[in-house]
Amino acid sequence: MKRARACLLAAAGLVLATPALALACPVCFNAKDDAARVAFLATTVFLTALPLLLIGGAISWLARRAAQADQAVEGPAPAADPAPETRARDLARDALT
Amino acid sequence: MEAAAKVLHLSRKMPAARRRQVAPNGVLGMLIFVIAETMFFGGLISAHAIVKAGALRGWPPPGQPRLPVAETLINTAALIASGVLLYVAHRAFAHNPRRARTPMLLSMLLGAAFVVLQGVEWVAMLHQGLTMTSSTHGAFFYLLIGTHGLHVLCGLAVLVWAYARLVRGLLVGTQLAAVQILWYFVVGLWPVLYWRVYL
Repeated sequence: MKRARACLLAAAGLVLATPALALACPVCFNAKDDAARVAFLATTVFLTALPLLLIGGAISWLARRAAQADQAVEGPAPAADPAPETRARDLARDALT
Repeated sequence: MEAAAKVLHLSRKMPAARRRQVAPNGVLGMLIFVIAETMFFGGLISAHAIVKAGALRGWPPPGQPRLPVAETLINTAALIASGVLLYVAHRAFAHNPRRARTPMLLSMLLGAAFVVLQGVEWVAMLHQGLTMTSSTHGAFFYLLIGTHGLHVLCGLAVLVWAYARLVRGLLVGTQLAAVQILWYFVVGLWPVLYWRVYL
């Protein structure tokens, strides 16, 4: 516990002692003016949204197709199933014979 | 041993799970390929946007030739018309495959015209001094437009293959659908590239 607290204090001391500005984006130092900053923001949003849209779209399309395929396979409503107890009894009888 | 035999006997009596095809393999494969290619072009377009926005001396850089905006607009119209004709071919194919031949052939010819006109444009740009190494403008132009051109060539090759099968009466709907996905991607991407690179 003492060691964890010491580590935490050391980390906090390091953060406070660091005078340089921390940049989350490794290439944003190149953003010299507003147009470049807007370009960085726009492309970040674009590249974040694009895979989500593509994969989400593909999954929703496949889900729709699967639902359609299920409906096509099911066809008309089947005859009512016998009660589970009756089915179990039939299976057990089959196994024994 | 006897119990195992009974279980096997029981499992044979159970109805087998019915398989259903959600999407044809060719269509699904092409869809995955197009998704990957969309991300690839998304990265290239983003890189171009950042370099263009960060250009200190304007875009295109001074001393570099201007791109032929009006001529390429005609090219754009040809490629879009090619996509529309492929859709017409798809509609015709559903009713009578023989009637799909003419629109599909016209679609291929318009696609080929696009490639030829792009080639002519490239030769002119090279003569004017725009090369891969002349500036970032030139590098991005040849990279983006060249990569798209390569996709158009691949799309054309697939269209020729589909047309040959159509003529021989061997083309099936799922094959045409896969070809359509690739061609619509190529056609749909071009206006975006035209807007970002030429305008």
